[in-house]
Amino acid sequence: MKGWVTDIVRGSFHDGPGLRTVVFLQGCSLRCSWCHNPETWSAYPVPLFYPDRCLGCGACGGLAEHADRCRFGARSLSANERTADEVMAVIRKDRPFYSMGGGVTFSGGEPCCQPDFLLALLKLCRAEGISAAIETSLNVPADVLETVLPFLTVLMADLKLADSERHRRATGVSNDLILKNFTVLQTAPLSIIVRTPLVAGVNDDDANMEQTIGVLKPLKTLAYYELLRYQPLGQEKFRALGWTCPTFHAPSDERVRHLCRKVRDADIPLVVDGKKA
Amino acid sequence: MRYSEQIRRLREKKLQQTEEKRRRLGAMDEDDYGWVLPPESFKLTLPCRDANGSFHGVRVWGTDFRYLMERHPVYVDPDDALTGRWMFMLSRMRANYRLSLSPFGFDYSFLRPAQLLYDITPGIGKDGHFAPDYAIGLKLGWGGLLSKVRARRAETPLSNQESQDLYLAEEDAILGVRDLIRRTAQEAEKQGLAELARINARLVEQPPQTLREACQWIAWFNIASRVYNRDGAGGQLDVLLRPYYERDKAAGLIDDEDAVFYLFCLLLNDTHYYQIGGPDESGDDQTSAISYLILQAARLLKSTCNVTIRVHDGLPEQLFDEGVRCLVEERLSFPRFSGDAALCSGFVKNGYPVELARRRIALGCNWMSLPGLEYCMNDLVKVNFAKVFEVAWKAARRESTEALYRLFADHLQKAVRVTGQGIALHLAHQWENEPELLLNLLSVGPVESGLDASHGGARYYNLAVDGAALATVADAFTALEQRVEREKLLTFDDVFRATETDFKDAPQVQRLLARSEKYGNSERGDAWAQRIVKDFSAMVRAEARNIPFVKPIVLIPGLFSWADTVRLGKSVGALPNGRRAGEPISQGANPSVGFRRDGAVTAMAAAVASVQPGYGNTAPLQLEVDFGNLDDAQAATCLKALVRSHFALGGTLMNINVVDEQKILAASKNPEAYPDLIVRVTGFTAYFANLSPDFRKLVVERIVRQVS
Repeated sequence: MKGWVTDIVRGSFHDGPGLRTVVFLQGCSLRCSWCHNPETWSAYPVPLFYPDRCLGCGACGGLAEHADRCRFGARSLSANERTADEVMAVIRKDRPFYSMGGGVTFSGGEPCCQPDFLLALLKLCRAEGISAAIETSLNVPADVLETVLPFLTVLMADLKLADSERHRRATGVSNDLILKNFTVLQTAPLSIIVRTPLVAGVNDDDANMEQTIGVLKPLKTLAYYELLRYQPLGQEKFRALGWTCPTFHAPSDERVRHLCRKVRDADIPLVVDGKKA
Repeated sequence: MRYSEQIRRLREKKLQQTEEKRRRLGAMDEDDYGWVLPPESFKLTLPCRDANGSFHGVRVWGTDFRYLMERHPVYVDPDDALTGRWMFMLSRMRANYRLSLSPFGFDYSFLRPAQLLYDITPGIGKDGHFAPDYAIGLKLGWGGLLSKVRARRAETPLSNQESQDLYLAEEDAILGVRDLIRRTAQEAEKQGLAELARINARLVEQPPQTLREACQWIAWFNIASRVYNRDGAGGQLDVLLRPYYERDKAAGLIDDEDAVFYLFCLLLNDTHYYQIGGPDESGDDQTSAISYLILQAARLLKSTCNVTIRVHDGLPEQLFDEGVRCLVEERLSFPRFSGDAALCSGFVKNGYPVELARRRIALGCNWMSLPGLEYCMNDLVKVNFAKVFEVAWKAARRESTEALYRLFADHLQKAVRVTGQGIALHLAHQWENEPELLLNLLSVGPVESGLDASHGGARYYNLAVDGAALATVADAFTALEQRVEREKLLTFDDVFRATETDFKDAPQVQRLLARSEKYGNSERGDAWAQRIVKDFSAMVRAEARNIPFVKPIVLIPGLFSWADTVRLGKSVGALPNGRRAGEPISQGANPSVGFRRDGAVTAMAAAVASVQPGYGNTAPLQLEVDFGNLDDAQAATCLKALVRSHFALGGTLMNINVVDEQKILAASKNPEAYPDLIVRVTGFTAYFANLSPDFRKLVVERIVRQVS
């Protein structure tokens, strides 16, 4: 079994409980303009070019399709094809550090965009007693979600906007499937973390938060809800893809505090940018 | 807390003293040590000096030390539970003193060419760097120590000049210390501080009876040994102080707030290294109520501190948990963590019983030491692998990495040989060059035998020899193997020409080499690093046979560069890992800075665990980590997993800075705006603002970044 892997980050603190290995998979069905990893949108690898790293050696002939000839990191492809065993070999290196609740997190892109590969990896993790999580947009077919759920101990889901039409405008797709999947999660026997990247003028309004709270309340195993203030981390990648990078801003501190109050008033455990709020 | 106002004032005063040191002396790339400046008007000329301005000889050291102590300014602060601060270091009053090279009045010019060729830090003439057993002093007091020395002198034939001289010098040392304590008691009396006056007047002669007196006694020994030659080891503080604490508390003399305040004042007095927790001889954990109070006192310091928690299977989860929380929440770079399992199993391989191994504790930057039993030259002797590699690289026929490695190993053997010869010379003459007058008193053997600890007086001679620049050299082999032999993108000659010109006309070659696989991020890199360590360890251990001495010698290999990465890098030209001439070498056993794009604390922890020499000395994991916005509880969970796992994999010591990268970067630009920012440079902690730009850069570059 092979799949397209954009990156594997070892020893992460930020992608679930404990120390984690994060496997980023290629492919995503959403097109969020503030995305940190726009190179993962395509189902297949895309070329990236970082001009400041180019020494003008001429090995690539200036052609994106010769990215594999670049030795200086100026040209690359967004993903490499790897076997499940190759990925597991990297995961096993971090295995001694998975005490205290750590494990593997499959992220992306949208990890469920490669369902067979994801499932193969989850089965291998299960066989080796390694705890697994996914970071998902939930914009995935219900049967895929239901297939992977039994292999997870933690599921981290994004909810960018609760209104379907606004969601479509901001991400390119409606959230009908996402909301349907949230209902599946209402009784799922695993720890659920829901996150919203807060972008000023996009989803930091009261109405969206009130609707979001409505989605969160029925989740019986919600560990916490996390607000992540927008950070311009994807800009360099947008440029490397040759795309124009849209400008976004994080909401003001005052606005974030206001939204936090709403969440707390709803009696939902809250985390803001990694810290309990 | 009843003492909160005193603590606040003491902390403020400490900051003022630190700022004054920086103002008067400039950058100080060392431990803060807790010393204070003498009055500007203070002048002193030592009575005994050689023509060249240095001094040597057993009696001379005793005379000069006593003279200095009899004139040392007294220090009494009404807010402080203890008295005294040290202001001078006798060993540095010798002409031509350098931190890396001490004066030594015996010719070793025949070793210098090879020492310089391989950039050996030989340790010849270096002092201290082994641990006292405070229990000896706490039991006898200064009066008891003096009686013991005098009794032994009376029993020793006058014809035994070496011992007679040593005893007379020891008497001078004790009398000098007692004079300073006596004058301090008088000053306290004058200031109306009756309790401080009583305690100090008593300690001139008597052993301590209470917790406060025991803390004061330890402070006095620390002050004396610092003034003598910096010394710097501490001890198993919770075990040393436990009887006093329990007795005072049972008698209703103190409560825990009193105890914490006394401990706070002891830790403020000096940055000596103390271990808490860990097993006793039989393997049972030694943690007690006072272990927690020590940690509590350390948290109140908000200053430099060197407390280490010994992690073993029996360590109470609560002490481990509180230690990790202290590290994460205070961000003051303490406590450190020491890995019992690998240290004990390694030390046993030298032929010692496990009971003894458990008594060998973590003291000093990277030191392991048996308090009062062992002379060990910790952190004094270093072989710069990078310089050895450079010698081989320049001489090689450049036909294969295997052939280059064989040549490197030949030169490494020669470097270890000359290192061993240096140690032999040191052991032959150090007792005359600079006897260990203070540490002898708290050791088992020197006073009993009349022999200095460096000259056969100590019970064991387990001497440390550390390798430095492991990652730099492993990366050089890995890069050559990848780019020349496997990928054939370069030839050996291409790389040689590029390094000869410091990559001046070969930026592509430099980038290609620098982007190669490395120790810590590739199997080949790890294999080269492990091979170097294995061969170095075997050479070091075998070298012990060549050192003539009155007692058995064991040489114990370790990996540690201290903060000498800058100094050791300056002597080395460009190397095939893309490192340019003069740039710092890699840190201790750590992979090179930037070895992985994601930083990967787990990759670093696994790599360092995999290159442990494995004979009971350390190869520390030096970790600077910014948890970003991560919740403290989550960060603590991650750190606990990291510490436990590193030690389970064979790690020996973890020096961890939990930092706020933005704050460090801002402080790097404007250090004086952050006078209270503390960092652990390597084994030691320091005020960031007091470091030189080179050292500040060293800390900044090591930070492991993760984007949340």
